[in-house]
Order: sequence, then C-alpha cells, then structure tokens
Amino acid sequence: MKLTEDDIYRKSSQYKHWSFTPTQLALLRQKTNVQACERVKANVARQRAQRAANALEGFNSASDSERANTPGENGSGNGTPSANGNGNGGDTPLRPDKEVDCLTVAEEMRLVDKFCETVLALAAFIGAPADVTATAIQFFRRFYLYNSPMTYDGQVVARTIMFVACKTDNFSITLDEYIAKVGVTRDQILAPEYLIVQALRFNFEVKHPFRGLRGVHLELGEMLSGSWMGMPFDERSKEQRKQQLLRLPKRAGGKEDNMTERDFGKRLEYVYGLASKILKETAQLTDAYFLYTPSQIMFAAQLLADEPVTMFYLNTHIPSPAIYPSSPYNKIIDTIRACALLLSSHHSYTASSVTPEEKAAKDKQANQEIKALLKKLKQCRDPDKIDLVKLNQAHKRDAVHAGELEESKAKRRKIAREDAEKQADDFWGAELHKK
Amino acid sequence: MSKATPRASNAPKQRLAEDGGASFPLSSSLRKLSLQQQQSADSPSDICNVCKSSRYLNPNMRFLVNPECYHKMCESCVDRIFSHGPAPCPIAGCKRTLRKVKFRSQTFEDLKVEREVDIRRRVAKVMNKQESDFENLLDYNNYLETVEEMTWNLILEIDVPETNRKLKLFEAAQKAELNPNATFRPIDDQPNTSTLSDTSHVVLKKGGTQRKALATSFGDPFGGDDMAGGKDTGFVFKGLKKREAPKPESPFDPFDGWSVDAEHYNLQDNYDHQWIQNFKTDPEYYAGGWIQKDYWNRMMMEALGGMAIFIEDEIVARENAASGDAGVGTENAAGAALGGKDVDMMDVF
Amino acid sequence: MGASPAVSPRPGLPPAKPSANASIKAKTLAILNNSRAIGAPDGLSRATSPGGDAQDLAEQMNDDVRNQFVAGTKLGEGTYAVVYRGHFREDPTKLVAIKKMKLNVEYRDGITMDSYREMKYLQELSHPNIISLFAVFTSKDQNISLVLEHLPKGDLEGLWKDSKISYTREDIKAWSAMLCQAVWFCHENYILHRDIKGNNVLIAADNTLKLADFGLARSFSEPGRNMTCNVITRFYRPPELLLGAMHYGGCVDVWSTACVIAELATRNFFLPSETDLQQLTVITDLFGSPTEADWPGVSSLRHWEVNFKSAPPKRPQPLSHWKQRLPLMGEDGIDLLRAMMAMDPSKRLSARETLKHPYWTNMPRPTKKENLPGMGGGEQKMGEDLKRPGGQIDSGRTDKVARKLDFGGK
Repeated sequence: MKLTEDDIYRKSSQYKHWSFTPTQLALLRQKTNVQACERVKANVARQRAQRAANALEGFNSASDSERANTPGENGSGNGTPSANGNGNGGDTPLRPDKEVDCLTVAEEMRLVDKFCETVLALAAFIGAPADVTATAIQFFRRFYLYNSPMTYDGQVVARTIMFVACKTDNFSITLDEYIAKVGVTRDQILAPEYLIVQALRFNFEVKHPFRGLRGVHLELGEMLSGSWMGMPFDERSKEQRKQQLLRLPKRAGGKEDNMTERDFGKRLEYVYGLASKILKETAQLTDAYFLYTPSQIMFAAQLLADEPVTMFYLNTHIPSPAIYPSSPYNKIIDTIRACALLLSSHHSYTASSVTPEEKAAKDKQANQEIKALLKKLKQCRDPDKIDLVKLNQAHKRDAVHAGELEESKAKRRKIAREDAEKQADDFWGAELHKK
Repeated sequence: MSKATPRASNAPKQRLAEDGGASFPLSSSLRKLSLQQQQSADSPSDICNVCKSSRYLNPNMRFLVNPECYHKMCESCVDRIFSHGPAPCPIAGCKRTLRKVKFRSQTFEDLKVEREVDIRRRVAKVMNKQESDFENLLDYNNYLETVEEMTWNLILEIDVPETNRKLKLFEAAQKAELNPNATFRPIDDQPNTSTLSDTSHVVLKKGGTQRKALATSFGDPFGGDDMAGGKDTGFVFKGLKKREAPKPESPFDPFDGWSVDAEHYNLQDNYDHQWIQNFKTDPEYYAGGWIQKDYWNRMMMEALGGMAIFIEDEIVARENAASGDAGVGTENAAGAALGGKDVDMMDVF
Repeated sequence: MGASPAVSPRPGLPPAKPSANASIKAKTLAILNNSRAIGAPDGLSRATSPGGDAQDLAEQMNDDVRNQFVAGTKLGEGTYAVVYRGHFREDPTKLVAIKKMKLNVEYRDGITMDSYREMKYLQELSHPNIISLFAVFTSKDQNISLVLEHLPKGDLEGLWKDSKISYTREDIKAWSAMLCQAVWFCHENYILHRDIKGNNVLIAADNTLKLADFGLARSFSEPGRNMTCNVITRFYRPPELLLGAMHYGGCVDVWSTACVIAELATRNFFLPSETDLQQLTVITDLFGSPTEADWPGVSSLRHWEVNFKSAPPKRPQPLSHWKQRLPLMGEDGIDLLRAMMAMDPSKRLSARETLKHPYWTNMPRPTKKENLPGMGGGEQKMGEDLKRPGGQIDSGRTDKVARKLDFGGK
C-alpha cells in the first residue's frame, strides 16, 4: 500500500472517528441535547412525584426503605437515597406544574467553551505543557459531543479529563500529586474515568498542529538563509526565493517591502509566537479539530498571524493550477481560509484592530452571559448524575451483584447438566470399564 | 506359478493404475488375451531362456524383461551378463544392446500386453491434453482419435520412425511452451540409429543426455503459421487453446508493497535554528540515539500531512459509498438549513 | 485491515434529506427526525420512557459494540488480564481474542498506563503485521476489554523452543521480514514499541507474524522531554538504555528486533543475562567495550562511569565468531544483524534501512507464507502472551522491567 503523509493522517482515529461535516456535528449535538433534555425532564418529574408521595404519606421509615429497595426505578442511580433527593432536591423547582427549562444546543456549546477555559487554567496550574493541555481540551470537547453539560458537570469532568490526558500523553504526575494540587479527593478524580474513556470511544491519540507549526517555522528560516532546496516543481533559485521572501508586503494587499534578513528573522519569530498562541488557545476553543485537519488548522493560524508569509510558504509547497491543472491549490487555500474564519470569529481571538476597551466590554458582556447560563444550568441538572462518586460506587455494586447472579446461575446450570448426565448414565447403565 | 497367479488375477485393476492417468482402457480383446494367458500357465514361462534353470528348483527365482526387446530372463542371468555395462541381448537372433537398469519384473503375464501398456504409457505422457485444453468437444474427440491411431501405429509397428519423430517433436514443443526461458539445443534431425532404427523400440525413460539431444527450441506448435514457417512440431491440433505461461515470480519485496513517502515536502538533511542547535550538540541526545532526521521528518509530515484532505468532501463520499444513494448535494443543503454559516464561509472567498 | 466498519464507534449520522421548499426551521426538524428515525431509535425511545433504563449515547454505543461479540472459553489468566476466545455475534466463524484488563491492585491511579498505551496505539496502527484491535468496550463491572485479532499459532519464542518444529534459513528470512515490516510501520507512525521480543510476536492462522502488546509503547519524544530508560525486557535492551539514555529513538526497537532474529537463527536466547549490570557485560563480551572513538558522546551517558570508567577494555568478537554462531543467517544476514546491533545507536540501521538491506533480496528467497512451518504453542500460548504484562518473559525469573514508569523525571 502506497501511503503519503495525507494517507497517514487518514489512518488516524482522529480522522476516522472524530472528523465531521458541520451538519453531522450539528446533528450529533442536537441528538445529545434532545436526549439529555428528555432525561432531565423525566428524572425531575419522577423526583417530584416521589416527593409529593412522600409528603402525602409523611416521612415514615417504611416508605424510605421501600424506596431504597425498589429496583429498576431509575436505572443506574438506584439505591442511593442521597443522590435521589435529600442532597440536591433543593435545586429543582418545587412547583410541579412548571416544565424544566433545559439548555439549548447553542447554550450547551457556550458552556462547554467556558469549561474549556477551566481546563486551560487547570493545565496551567499543574504546569502541563501545551500538547497535554490541548489533548485534555480536545478530550473534553469530544466528551461533550456525546454528553450534555446538563448530565455531567463540566468542572468534575474537566478535572478527571485533565488527569487522563496526563496519563495518555506521558506527563508524569501521580494521582496523589494531582489531587494535592487540584484539591479534591481521589474518588472524585477516579469515579468518572470509565465514563470518560467510554465517551472518548477509547481513542486517546489527538494529533496537534504544534509540531507542524515548528516545521514550517524551520523551513521558513531555511528559505530566509537561502539554503532551502525547494520542491521539484519550483524553478526559482534559492537566492531568488530568498529575495522574494524579503520583499513580501507586511500585510495582505500591502505594498512591496524590502526587509533585511535580520528583521525578517524577527518577523518570523513573531509570526511563530502569534500563530502558536492562536493554536494553543483559540483553536482549542473552537470546533476546528472536528472540522479540519491539524495541518489546515496550523496554516489557518499562520494565515491569521501573517498572511503574506503563509501564502508564500504555501506557494512553495503546492504547485499552482497554472502549472498543474489538477493541483488542489485553490481548494486547499479555500479550506485554510474557511478555517481561519472559524478561528477569528471566536471571542477569544483578538484581531489587532480591536482596542483594549472594546475587548474589555466584549469580555464583560460574555461573562454576564455565561453567568446567566450557569444559573440556568443549575435549574436543569440531571438529578441522577450529580454525585458521580456515589453513582460509580453504586455501579460497581450493581456489577458485583450481577456478577454473583451470573455465577450462581452458571453454578445452577452446571449442577443441572451434571444431574442430567448422571441420569442418562443410570439409564444406559454404568460406563464399562476399560481393560 | 504361485507368485504370478495372484498378480495376473489383479491384472485389469493394476493395468488401469499403471496406465498412469492415460484415459485409454485396453480394448476388451486385449484383456481377454491376458486372461487367457493366465489360464495356460505352464512350465515354459518358468524356465529361464538363457540359463535354462527352472523355478521348480529355485522357488525364489525372478524373471525380468527389458523393454528394448521384451526377452525374458532370470535375475541371476541379468546380474551375470549386464553388471559390467551394456551388453547385447543373449537371446539368439536379438542383437539389441541392453542396460541393466532398464530390466524390471513384468507386470502382465502376456508380454504383448506388457508392451502395449508401456507404449500407451509413453504416449499418454506426451499426449496429455485434457478436454479443458480444447475449444470444444469435437476438437477434443478428434485429438483423442489421433492419439489412439498413433498408439495403434506403434503397437502394430506401422510407420514407427515417423510416429516416434512426431511424438518427440511434440514433446519438445510442449516443454518449450511450459518453460520459455530454458535454452534448448536444436534437435538432431537425423534419427539416431540406436534409438529410432528399431521398429519395436520403446523408451520409457530418457536419460539426461538423450533428453537434451531430443529437446528442441521449436516454438508454438499450435499457431496456424507454424507449418508455413517450416517448423515441424509433430502434430497440429485444431482448437487447442494456447497455454498460459505462468507469470514469472516477481523479486521479493521486503516492504511487501507498503511505502510511506512524502508528497508535499522535500526533506532536507539538516535544518538550522537556534532552538534546535542545543539538541544537536548535546551528547545526551546524539549519543543516546535521538535521531535528528526522524524529528525533521515528523515535523514536516505533521505540517503538511492532511493539508490536502477535505474532510467534508471525504465524509460525504464515504457516506455516499456506504448508503449508495444520497446525492452529494444533500449535505450542503442540510448545512444551509442549519444556519448556513459554513456555506457562507465558503462563499466569502 | 483495521476495525470493521460495523464497529465504528460513531453513531449513524445519515445524510439528511430535507424537503427543498420548507423553511429553515422545518428543515432542521426534518433532519432531526430523520436522524432519530435512522440514527439510534433504540436509545431515544428508551430515554423518553420515564423510569426506564436511561442510557447515555456513549453507553448505548458501548453496549452496541459489546453486543457484537460473544466471549467463549478462557485462554489464559494473569495478574493483569484475562484472555477469552470469542467471535463476532453475526459470524461465529470470525474468531477474536478478548483481552479483559484486570484492575491492577498495585496501581491505584485508575486505569493503568499499559491499558491506555495499548488502546491508544493499536487504534492508530493498521498494518498486516501488527495485531488488529477490532474494538474496545467496558463491561458492567468497569473492566476494559480489548477485542483483538485471534492468533492461534503461538509466538516466535514458542516456535524456536519447540524442538519438534524444524525450519530453514528461508523460513527465518520470511519471519524476519514480517517482523521488520511491523517495526518499520510503527516507526513510520513515530511510535516506539519498546518491548519487542519473541513472545510479543504472535502468529496468525495464515502464518502471518503480528507484533502485539503495546503496553510499553509511546510516541517519539519531543526534544527537551525525557523518556524512561527502564523499558524493554532485559535480554533485548540495547546498550544506550542500559547506559541510562533518556533521549533515544527508533533504534532501540531495531536492536530488540535483531535479538529476536538472532534467537530464531540460534534457537536460543541471544544475549541472556541475570541482571541489568550483567546484561551490559554480555553485550560488551560480544561487541567490545564502547569508546568515544566508535561511539561519540558515550561517556556522557548517565551510567557510563559506573560501568566502564575502571573496567579493562574488551575487544569485539571477530566475524568468524558470528559465522560460527549464526550459520543459518549466511554472510549477508550476519551483516544485517551486525548493522542492526551497532553499539552506537546513531550508526545503527533505522527500521526503514533494515528493509533496504540486500539480505532480503539475495538468494535464497524467503519462504512463502503458506509454506512456513508452524504451531508454536497454539492458542493457549496466545492467551499466555496477551495476559502477560510487558517487560517480562515467562522463564520464571524475576527479570522484569518496572511497571511503574518513571518517565525519566520531568
């Protein structure tokens, strides 16, 4: 099988399982949202009915124990009274007639974005490098494709996901060190782990654009020093290429410039720094990873940082359709531009034209929106899934019971089979002794 | 006769087996002949024609024949006469030169049958076409008839030199077709007296030198222009399919057909950057086996790998392939339905 | 190759077909309904019934995957995993091996690194000479199960240990080629296996070799970040790791691969030793002591002083020693092995270069897969191999590498 660098990416789980068209992504989120809403409503309604029943009967111990022992009442959370009502009942509105006001898909996305920033802060706090942080954020975003923030609390999931990312990306930290820094118990980190790996579909490789950005940076440096050998279709000499590079305009559509090699070197360092910042922050907070390949995301960030340089670089690597009519040049550029637009439209991206005051005002408004959303979230949390530690314990207990059940069943079956065999033996008489 | 009898009674079965895959059962008259022979088992066959010793005196005595002349003699005579190399047949009137290796015990009581079976076996070895080798049944039947006719010519000793010549030519042509790369010595057209002059000559197994001498580099025996080209391949059969030459084995590929090669970049041997300089000069790196070039390549592969992948197109194509019907347009339409943002994005540029 | 499409973890997202004239909102709804109808009707209907067994999307998908397989008899059980024979539910002739990871008592930090690594890298690699991971699922008791290719013909170590099996130099060449391809493909994806050894190379029913056990694998390291040198089972550990290198590359796997090939040719362990220190002695007995001249920078490695500062220098064994010890490899084979076992890792062949060596294309031609001798240990052996943690051989000795990876500090 002949593979190119594109095919290598096609073999990754990121391409196979975590790349979507915008439509697919929207559908998936819609589906997750609908399901979560229905469940929240059902669970809240059940809880209210229960509370109403309790109120009628009075709080006698009989009904309490009965409630605890009723099997199949609410799926996995049964048998844990504190998760059912006592602890969190106060959160749900008491008026039974009022429908729970669930989050919309857009609101969910806003919240996930918000929690991604939490992950960023958390990563910075434990000193995780950029790629581990980015992996954690992508895990987080993947998790909330199949789960709603109404079901699982972003804070709780974020803490565990950060730890999972440390494990998968070889960032050395023990759980004890981690909990000491984060300030929670072991169980709070470990309880959602299975839930998370399951939602991640056991795919733990996230391909990031950082290393690629470094590669482009090094190659641009080689071009600048006039030692880059170039692609076969490129007929310019090394020196010609260098001169063209130095004459690149400062910004797209600007007039031709003429920089010294040293100044241009500084420009490249600046571009690298800016692009790298976009990749570490903005790119993580958008859907870019779901919709584009790391290479495209990387070039989009480059493009935002310095369009002329990026276009120059791309022109040295992709033959223009004028040379090869079948060249995907235009399509590649369109895709990169689309990705750049996605990045620049995110609120965390600050274009150079925005003044600090404008930005502060924008941030303030965003913060208020988030606050309102968090408040709304409180009203529509799935009451069954609030205490993940207890839920996890219950889960384990159930499994053990189920296991025992299976075992006893198997034992019973074995005895039955042996009996049957014995009877058959009796019928045909004892087995003949071999000589 | 105690030994010969059970063998003879098995004769029909054995004959089939010994035909060696030849699809020509002996004619019934021949079979009768062999059975009759069994009835008249008598002393002449138990006495060696050379030394006149009798099996009566020596029950362990074995009789051997040589397919050159089918004269029967006892094992000790063969040992005595032929141990020191080829010698003429000791039977009066027979001058043929015999070799010890060719002697064997006879399968059939009747030497005529023995000889016919030998001839048939030899012919069948050369004329081994099957029905599937022919365009149609008629051609196959014609072929079988030719073979049978030739076989009877040999058995009844009609036109023997010509038939033998044709057989050899045909065999050589077949071999040439099977292995076109082998070099053959051109056939010596003059019939070799020692092998062909005699009418009842049957060669079961040719020696290596003989075979080479017989082999020919004559090409395709079946093409119509063969005769025109003056090449004689012995027989020309109508409707015989051309044999597909087996493909020569390609050289072993240690990668087994796999390769990973860059399409969008050209890896340089070296990249210079201050950041990387530290690692290049640190013995912890170069002595520990951290290979710079691997890192260059990985950077460039990740920079450009996936650049030319258009996820939306590929997913749509994948799903179309899976569902087989949905048009390419539906995804875009659906995209427009969901706010149209992405479509707008594409339209801006 | 790779996971069968049926096991794809993404739920069905059918291309929607909205009616052309409807309003945007209507379209959205139509798509939504469409997806509900085709996508996962089961899950949605379940979720709508109050008090029913409400499941997450992810849980449903997990159950869907789990239900595609049927577990059968137990093939092996160890401290870290239980291996069952299983098959696809819809096609009982398609066998699989189900490796159920056990909770590790020693490791208290949740799911073990081994499990993560194995899942992470096997999901990315699809090559005929690397064991396929068909699917992963969790069971109710929160154990992760890996559904792996069923490889019933044992492993390479079982093969050379089984005196009933005789094989030729052509067979060795064929096996070695498959092993080198596997290593090459890992490295082409920038994944280090870090535990290549005879019993991690399993044999499929059609005699294809498959590299397995990625519990110690990792991606090539970024410069500036350390890797642990406490990996690879000792007999197969290259000198730079024994000397404490923390920045290494694919060459560590190439050394191990050469050891495995040499084992096949000698039908014995090639560089056996009792301790880590002794391992270095065994290596230098064969290759001579490393010097700055033939391995620049070697004296800067962490453990060089302890080992070589005061030790008398050793001479390498002559070529005749190799010829005598490895008659089955032939001259070109010995040349390949020596190039794969160059002491200085930067002079060692890369995995790609090993496959470009003339040994492969020289006569004799490697045996065709279907004609290879086989049955080294069989199905039980696969069970044993899959359940064993990395860095350990089943010779009963306590020669294992640390399972608690220290990442070589930070």
